[in-house]
Amino acid sequence: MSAEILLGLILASIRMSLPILFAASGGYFSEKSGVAQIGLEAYLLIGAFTAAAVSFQTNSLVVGYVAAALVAAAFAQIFNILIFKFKANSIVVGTGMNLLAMGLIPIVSKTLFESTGSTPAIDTSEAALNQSLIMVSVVTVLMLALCYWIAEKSSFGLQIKFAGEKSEALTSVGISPIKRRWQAVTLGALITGIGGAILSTYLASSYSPLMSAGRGFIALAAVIFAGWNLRKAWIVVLFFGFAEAIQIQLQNMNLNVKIPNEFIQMLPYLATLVALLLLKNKQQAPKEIS
Amino acid sequence: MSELNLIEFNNISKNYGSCVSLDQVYFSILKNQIHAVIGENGAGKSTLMKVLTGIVPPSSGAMVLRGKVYEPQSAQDSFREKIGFVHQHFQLADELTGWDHLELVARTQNIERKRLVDLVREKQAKFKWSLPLDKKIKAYSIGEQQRLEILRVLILEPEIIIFDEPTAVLSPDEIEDFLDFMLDLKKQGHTLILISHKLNEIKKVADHVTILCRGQLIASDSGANFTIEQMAEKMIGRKQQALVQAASGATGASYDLNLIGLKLNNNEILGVAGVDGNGQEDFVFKLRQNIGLLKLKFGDISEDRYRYSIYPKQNLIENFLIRHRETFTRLGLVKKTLVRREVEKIISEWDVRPAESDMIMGSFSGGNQQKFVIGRELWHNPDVILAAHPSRGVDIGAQEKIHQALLDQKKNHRAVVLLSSDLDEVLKLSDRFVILFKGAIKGPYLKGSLNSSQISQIMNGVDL
Amino acid sequence: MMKRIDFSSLIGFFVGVAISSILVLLFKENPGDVLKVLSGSFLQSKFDMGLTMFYTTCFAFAGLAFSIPFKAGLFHIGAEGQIVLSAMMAAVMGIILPESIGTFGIILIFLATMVLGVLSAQAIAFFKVYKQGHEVVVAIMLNFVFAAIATYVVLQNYQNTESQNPESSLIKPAFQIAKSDSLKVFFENSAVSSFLIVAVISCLAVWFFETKTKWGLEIKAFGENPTAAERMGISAKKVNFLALGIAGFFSSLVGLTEVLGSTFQYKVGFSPAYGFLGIVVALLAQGHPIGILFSSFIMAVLHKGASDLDLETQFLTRDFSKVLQAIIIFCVAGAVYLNHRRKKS
Repeated sequence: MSAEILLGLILASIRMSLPILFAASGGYFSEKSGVAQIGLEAYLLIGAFTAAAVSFQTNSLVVGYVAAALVAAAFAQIFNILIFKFKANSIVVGTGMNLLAMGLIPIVSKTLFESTGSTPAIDTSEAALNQSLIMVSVVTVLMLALCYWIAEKSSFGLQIKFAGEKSEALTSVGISPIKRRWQAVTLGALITGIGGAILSTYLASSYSPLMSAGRGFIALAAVIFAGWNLRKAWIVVLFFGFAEAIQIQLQNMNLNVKIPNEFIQMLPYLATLVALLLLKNKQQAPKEIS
Repeated sequence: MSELNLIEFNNISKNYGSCVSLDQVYFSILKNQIHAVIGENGAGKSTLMKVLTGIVPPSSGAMVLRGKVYEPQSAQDSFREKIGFVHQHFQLADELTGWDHLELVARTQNIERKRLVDLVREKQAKFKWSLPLDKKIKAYSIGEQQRLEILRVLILEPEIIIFDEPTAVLSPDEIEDFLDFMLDLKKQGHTLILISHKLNEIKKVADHVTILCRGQLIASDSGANFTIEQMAEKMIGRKQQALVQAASGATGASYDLNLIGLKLNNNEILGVAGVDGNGQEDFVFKLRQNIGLLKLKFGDISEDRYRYSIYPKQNLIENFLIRHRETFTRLGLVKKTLVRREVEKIISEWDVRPAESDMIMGSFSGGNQQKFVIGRELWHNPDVILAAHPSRGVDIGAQEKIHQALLDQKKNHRAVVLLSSDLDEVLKLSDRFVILFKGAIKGPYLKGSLNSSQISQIMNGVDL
Repeated sequence: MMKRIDFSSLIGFFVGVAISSILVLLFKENPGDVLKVLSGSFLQSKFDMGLTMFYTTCFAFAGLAFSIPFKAGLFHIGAEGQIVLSAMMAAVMGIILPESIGTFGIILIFLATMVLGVLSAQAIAFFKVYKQGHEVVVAIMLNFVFAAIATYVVLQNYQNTESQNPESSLIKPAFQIAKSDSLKVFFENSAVSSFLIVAVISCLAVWFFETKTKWGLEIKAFGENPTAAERMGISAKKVNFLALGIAGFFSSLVGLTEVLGSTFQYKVGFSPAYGFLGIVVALLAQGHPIGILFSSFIMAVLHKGASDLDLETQFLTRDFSKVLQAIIIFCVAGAVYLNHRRKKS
């Protein structure tokens, strides 16, 4: 294998892992605060659609990203109200959130663009692509730094951990664990929404139906797999990105032995299961997760 | 100055729905004293402290602190007023470090990192503590956990410190140390509120004693004016009944429990003493395993009712049925009508209230749950009975009934293993007892063969 | 003894429909018309009714596949993969078995499909029990893997050569017994088949299982308090494998209903996410097996109606049924809580 292919593979791995990286970071905060988060798929889809639609309308990527983050965070409030005000089961509501996003987007899309399928393509001139690359790089680095700081250095991060591990400890210092969980879920949706924006405006040039293709679930799997440890989760995500990059590479290479497409596509999922089988898996779930 | 009222409770009441938890309670706490608040479970001690620390608001009545009206809205307000609360159940997260816990408090009170480090060093030096603050809580011993709890309160430099049942988890020696520590704090000018039901400890340290019973104030007077017996009587509202001891009958067949050669006779109560966390779990596990191997019928009054004994959302019939499912099923099908009769027998025999076999377990009070569980576990005339903390969380009346039932079982030629962290309970009921220390079984010792200082030494690992 | 019926989920359902109607207004459609399409579409013809009955059958099986593990404390979202995999098995068996073995062949198809369904669900139990994998994560992964396997097997080896669509060829005529099914004939050769009767019997059987059998009680007890259940000698291993095994059995019945009862082939993407719809059905019924019969009918009516929305309205699409389902999930979840709180105070 030549160095060129290897470099290409590494770059592709990073590219492919970006949306999952954001979703996993977002999911981390929610899960760490004690709220099981199965609705990442919904926030990715909402973010992807919003970014594509807004960027197309305003011709500005920045506005698209901001809108994606805000709309996803606003959307998560439905989840929050049901979980915290109506004490509903978070996995039940998370399932509902995914359904809602999948059902709502085509209808909104039809109303706005008279098409249930893809949104119109955004500007794909070379200048625009360069701008997009810079944008993604900056946002990603900022996101990683910020998430690390929040999780490991800030008071908010410490309080989130207590909300997930021993909420009475928070109550006894006069902080409401519900409030912190609410904020953690919102922050998570916001970050995941940006991941969706990257999916539709950087990895593609428009929104296409169900384009998240299970990345939200993969992100959740990464967080759980990494034992609810943020930095480990990032590494697991890179591994998924690598599996996906190999999958694309294999599809593009004209191999003598034809590997069926379906098998290549299920590579990341199969890899997760195999890893689960092989690794000694001592997960430290947040004590109060529900 | 010392006669100044630091805190005044003026007719404090607290209702939860129709349930009255505190009823017009009024008394004062003087500055720089150790003030004990005593009472049975459900007497209203904890509620009163929650009101004082702003965790719940009173339904009516008012508090005065340092001569000013005091109406805390949250725990934050009580911090500001220099009130610290050391909870009975440690509020520590196993997976986080000691520093994490201290920082959580420090950051909410705007104590900077550098000042926090200084404070912690100062307090640790003052009490000659050396807590492994970089380690996760799961590596802490129970005593260390309690010190961390106290340290968390001390860094806020409170004037008033509330201790809620602080000695419940300590060994006798640690209790002595702790009582000295309290006196030390008092010497340094703190005012301490001690919530407890261990009357001998209160007698030792308390300057002033307030007694609550069923939400009402019974007495509040200088500690010197009460004897232990008087305190007990006022706490329960009547005299304690004497237990009927069985005449020691002929020894029947012994069961070899095979816990390092422990033999168990079928007409005795074997006590298992020891501070919590010294291998009780493991002991119970091995005991159950051996009983299973010997194919003996087992009555399992478990060490944690919520974890091991009940299904809160199912009714009493289902709670009974699942335990005795082998008896009431044929070819995999259950016979529910027969079960109802048996459940109703248990209800009347044990005076479970309300007497509703269709009510879900979770709607019963803790004491009634425990009574039903014991009735259920004795229903099939088991050969061996494990009674782990049988009277934890039940009122005195139920406790007497439970103790009598265990003695009756012994009379009926059953073997009883009584595991309790309450040493008095073990010594009162058992014929022989063992002591657990760090997983090792010391003994067995005959009842009365050791004095309390010897027992205390064994509980702390000294081999006699 | 009958327990008092809990109407909170019914109330939640109607509130959900009401909220959805308001949402419809936002998209400049007439809620009255939309509701008429949604609820009335199944009455248009016997054929439409038959189609609705077919959905009812599949939803009921899928609902049971969710509700039984749920009683054991497992959130089972793996039915989708099991359904797809077992449908593939049914189609492949129907294609490769020789016609000469007749009825025996049909029995073989049933057995092979059910065994695969049970095993594919117990794979989740395996990861849960032996590898401490979270059942949700494992089920998600398995859904993807099973779908890929099913598609691969069908398209590589059994693609219908007369069709442009990704689908298998038809099973042997001798195995297409549902063609002469009297239910099917009555409903103008619609998708419905005698599997509907199997679904009704299944719901009753599950009710019996859950209330009158030892295993049923053990599952329920374990789901509510696993530590207590284990202490009383109920093995976690047994409950996990049993509950998921039963779930896989019902998942395989969805596959059989599709292949032996309706299309007689495997069509890639045949499932409108039955596995997930089963969650909605089970939640709406609050896990009660008889309730599942009714809730699956209600959901089937809505599902059938939603497929007509594309034609009948300007902006709404069949995707609206997902929105409706989501809102119903939310409202039922909320109503159940409010009802509990009302009872307490």
